[in-house]
Amino acid sequence: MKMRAIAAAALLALSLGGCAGLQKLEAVYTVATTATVPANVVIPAANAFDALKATATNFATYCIQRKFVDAVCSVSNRRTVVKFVNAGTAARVQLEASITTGQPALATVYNALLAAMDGLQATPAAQAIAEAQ
Amino acid sequence: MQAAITAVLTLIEQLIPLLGLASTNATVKLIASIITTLVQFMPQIENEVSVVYQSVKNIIGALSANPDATSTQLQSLQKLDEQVDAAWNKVAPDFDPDAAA
Repeated sequence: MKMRAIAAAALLALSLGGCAGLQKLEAVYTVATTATVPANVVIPAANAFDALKATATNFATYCIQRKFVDAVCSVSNRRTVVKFVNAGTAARVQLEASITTGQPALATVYNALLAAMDGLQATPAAQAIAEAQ
Repeated sequence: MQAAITAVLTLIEQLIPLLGLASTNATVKLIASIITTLVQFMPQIENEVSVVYQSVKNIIGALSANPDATSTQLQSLQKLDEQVDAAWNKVAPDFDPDAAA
């Protein structure tokens, strides 16, 4: 109950902070319109992907422990989660390699990372675990 | 606990599109607002999901007024990568319906 109250308060805080523009931005998650993306943008995004990948791992653990009996652990859903985890990981690796070697991080790869993150957010993983608690 | 993590991840997803925008006052204020909310969440998730906690901590560090040097941020990220990748690779063979038997 306390967690839900905190979550609700956080979302309310966002809405009070001028959310009209934010709602428009939410629909446009692929930011990069230039050819390359700077490290100070890539690094937070890669960290965010890691957080999502961790929730995907929690979801996988849940399904495995439950022996895939839940509808949310269907073959189709699992394939979707695996697809976005793999795509996001590949993009993250490529972006970090660029930063490490001093090469420009390509916007196409960055947008692929964002697409994977968006795809993972759209899967039932997080919600399924929340409902199972 | 999961509701807090879900809220945190929602905030992160809302933050990402802002990062590449021009640093207008409105954008800076909105990012600061999101960061402040993330910081408030930290104690709730610290003992629950350490990976999410570390991820948020890295993001806050990267976007704070006095961010660490890129090399330091990258080291923190790579350390998190190793932890996250190892955990996923452990479950993937059983979870992936198309994994080789």
